[in-house]
Amino acid sequence: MNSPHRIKIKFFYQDDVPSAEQFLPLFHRWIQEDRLAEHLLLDVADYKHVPNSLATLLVAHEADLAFDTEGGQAGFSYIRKRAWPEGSDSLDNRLEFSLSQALNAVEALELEDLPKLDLESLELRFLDRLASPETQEDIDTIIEATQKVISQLYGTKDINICQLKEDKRRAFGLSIKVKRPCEEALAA
Amino acid sequence: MPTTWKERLKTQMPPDWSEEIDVFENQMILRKQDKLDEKVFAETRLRRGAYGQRYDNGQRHDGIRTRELSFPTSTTKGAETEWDAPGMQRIKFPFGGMNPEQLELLADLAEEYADGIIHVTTRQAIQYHFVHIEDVPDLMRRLASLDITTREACGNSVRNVTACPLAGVCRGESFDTTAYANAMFEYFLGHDDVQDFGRKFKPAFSGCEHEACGLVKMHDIGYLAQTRLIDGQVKRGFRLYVGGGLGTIPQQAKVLAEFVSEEEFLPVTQAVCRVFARLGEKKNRNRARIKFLVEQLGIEEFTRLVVEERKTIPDDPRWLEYLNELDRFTETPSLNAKALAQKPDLEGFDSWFETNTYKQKQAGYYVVTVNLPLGDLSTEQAYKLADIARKYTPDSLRTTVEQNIVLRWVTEADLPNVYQELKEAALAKPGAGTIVDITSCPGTDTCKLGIAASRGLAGELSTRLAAKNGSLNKAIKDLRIKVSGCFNSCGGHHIADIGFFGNSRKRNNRTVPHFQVVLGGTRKDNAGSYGMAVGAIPSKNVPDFLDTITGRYAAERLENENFKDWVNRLGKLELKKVLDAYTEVPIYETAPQFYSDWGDVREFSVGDIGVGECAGEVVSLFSLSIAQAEGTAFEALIALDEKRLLEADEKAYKAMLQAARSLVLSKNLDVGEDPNTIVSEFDKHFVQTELFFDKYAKAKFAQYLSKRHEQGSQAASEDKTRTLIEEAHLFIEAAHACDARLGASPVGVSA
Ligand code: SF4
Repeated sequence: MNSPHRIKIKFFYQDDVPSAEQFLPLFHRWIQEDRLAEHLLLDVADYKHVPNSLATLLVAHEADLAFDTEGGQAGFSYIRKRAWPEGSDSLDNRLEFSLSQALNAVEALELEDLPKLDLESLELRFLDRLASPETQEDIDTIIEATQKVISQLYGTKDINICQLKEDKRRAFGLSIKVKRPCEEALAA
Repeated sequence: MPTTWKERLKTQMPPDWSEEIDVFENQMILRKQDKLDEKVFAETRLRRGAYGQRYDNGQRHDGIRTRELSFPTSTTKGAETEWDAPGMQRIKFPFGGMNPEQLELLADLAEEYADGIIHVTTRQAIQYHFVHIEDVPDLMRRLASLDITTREACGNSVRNVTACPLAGVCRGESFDTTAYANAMFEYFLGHDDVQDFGRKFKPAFSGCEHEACGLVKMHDIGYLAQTRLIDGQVKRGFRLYVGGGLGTIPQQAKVLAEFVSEEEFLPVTQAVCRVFARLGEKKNRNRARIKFLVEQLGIEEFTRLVVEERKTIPDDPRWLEYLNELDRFTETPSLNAKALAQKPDLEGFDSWFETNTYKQKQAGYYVVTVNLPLGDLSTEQAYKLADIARKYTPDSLRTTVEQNIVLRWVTEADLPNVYQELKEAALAKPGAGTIVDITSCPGTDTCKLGIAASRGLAGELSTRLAAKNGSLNKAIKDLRIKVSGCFNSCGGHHIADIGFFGNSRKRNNRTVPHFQVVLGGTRKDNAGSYGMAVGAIPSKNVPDFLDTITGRYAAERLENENFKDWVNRLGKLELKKVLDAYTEVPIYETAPQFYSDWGDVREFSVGDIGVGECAGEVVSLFSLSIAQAEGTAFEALIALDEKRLLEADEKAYKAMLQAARSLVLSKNLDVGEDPNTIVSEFDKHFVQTELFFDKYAKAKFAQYLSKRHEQGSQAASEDKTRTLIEEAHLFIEAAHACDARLGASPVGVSA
């Protein structure tokens, strides 16, 4: 099984949801202030007119960050797309790296005057169909690797992971529920 | 399991397309090693549809200052175009036709290589934005596996062939132009006669004279379907237009021939291409479109040259072969026609039905327009639309020049269900073909040449108009708005009732985004006439101006008076007065919003405008084809490294053939692909004349090709194969030297 070249991690908003509009000035300011370490921030794209999309997108060389309304549920996504660190070809390394980078971005977002994300609930997708698991064994391997990385980052083993079984055409994805919030992980 | 798309899709791609993509990938490697000139690579890239995007020169104004974007890779992919900078990928869809499977693939690719958005262009093509060049070969392979190409989607060649989205189902058409549009696409794709243009060349087909779907009069070449009674038989053909175009200086196309039969339309087009390639401007890109050549020569002389040229073109069986396949494009419904028993009680259905459906000529069937805001569709929406197309149509989808998608062959009885399902996917926006259905080019969002935010303005106007759609006067609803980010008119502002194009003005010591107002264009009659520019107003005043001008039109128009006639009756002086009320820009301190553009919170700046790639660099035919030879020689090296000796031998030989052919093309454009012909033509024009001879080595390099050609394919030792590859490289070098001696192909940007 190939390691995915593009991994998306989405955190969800629950009751209190910001608007796509609010992310436009915010992302432009992030570029001005160079707010995201280890990322070359390039541009902001406005797709708020497109339902179920990456409605407001901050494009970096290494990753895209978005106010994300896909699946009809608002959230904040981090999509790692390239510039993987040297030696991170394995699935475990890629998962760990993209998740920790996603949490860094969330940490920056948490400083903003916006509704807070529910950090206990997240979704992981392989936006790389060449790396889609073919067998149950592959899926188990991915779940196991994800479990390991999440428990390290969140400091708990109380994690529920299951495969997203929606439309088969969608990229392979996992739903992850962490029982313990990761504020501590963020603060660490 | 295969670990690359190349392996996985090896048997699913048309072999020649697959090979072309491999060559392009190798050219990328050569460019990264600085072994391929950046201008040649740029044109090669453009001809594969991989286009530059705003900020790819490594600079962006963030609203406060201009930031250097320090990309990790130091190579460029064109003049002032950073290798790592995100780019745009354009994909051809001849006549806008696609099936659900292709739409699903577009959705997959959008999220894997772009920003999750499938964008429909104003010429029925599809674009992705924010694509990295390294992802392009796999993206192309996956498209090729479903018979989709990006070839010549950009660059100085034949662009996407457009045609009415109603072709085959239209109540007013002469005949279905689909098969003809496809024949033209297939015939000219990669054809030698379209590789040496000074500029792009856009074709369009229309099934009738008076509607607006085909817009043939604003195209470089336009085909208007006609039938004639000849010897008692109804014959199909086209009124042929040439030399139309929008751009900075819009031109109405001229009639080259009143009737070109279906048997003659390909060779006559080929003759047009040859005349354009031979006599069209190559140095000054601003005057290199065919419209300037037609204007310069006059249509009579241009026609005479085409007629003469036609006589010289050797017969090609494909001119007629496509006629045996016309049925391939005749759609048959997947469901039996059934009438709607009673009007459904569905919220919003009536207004949607009124604007978004069209009764086909086939009784009981409708075309449904999916009105896409700004031409954008998300991946999720695309999957749902594919499902709807499968369920209710014979897999029949087409993009439109209004940046929408239509579903054809929906039975009347299914309309309520289709509406419901589209609504669930947020795809049942009403108002298609009305004032809320605004078209826009990418503008400053992604275009390097954009001056103002055309998409931002279009989005804002559309939102405001949709909010009051119910209360809008019918005369206003029927108007059309088109927005371009600059004078180049990719949004088609010249043919709208109300058009806008971006510019800027210095006001109160700051730069303020403005839009030039263009009034009274005509889409009908195939883009029958162009609007007139009446003056510029600040971007932020456009919505209020629009309210005023449409309000006055509704109030003051005579019965049945259209917008164009009303504008003409009002006169320039009065229009100027209307405009003058909106030209004022308040000082920054009181109204800072005037100093930023729609949808962009940054303070406005024109510092980001770059050098456009619309035209491509003016790179000679030789430079382009020799670049292919270089790519093939590189492939030979890879095959050698991987011990695929027979393949390495074949590739090295092919590289020499391609290099020889690059030179031969300057003497004989009809040389074709047959190795025997290439070698004999090369011998005739370059060996016997000694033009190819090196000052010291004399015939040595030429003999490398003739020797291998005579020997034929053979499994040689590794050493021998390596030698052949080295010879291929030397042969390519000799071709370059020969070209330079002949002074045939200066590589460079035109003024
Ligand atoms: S009209 Fe201007 S801004 Fe719009 S796409 Fe064309 S060149 Fe770019």
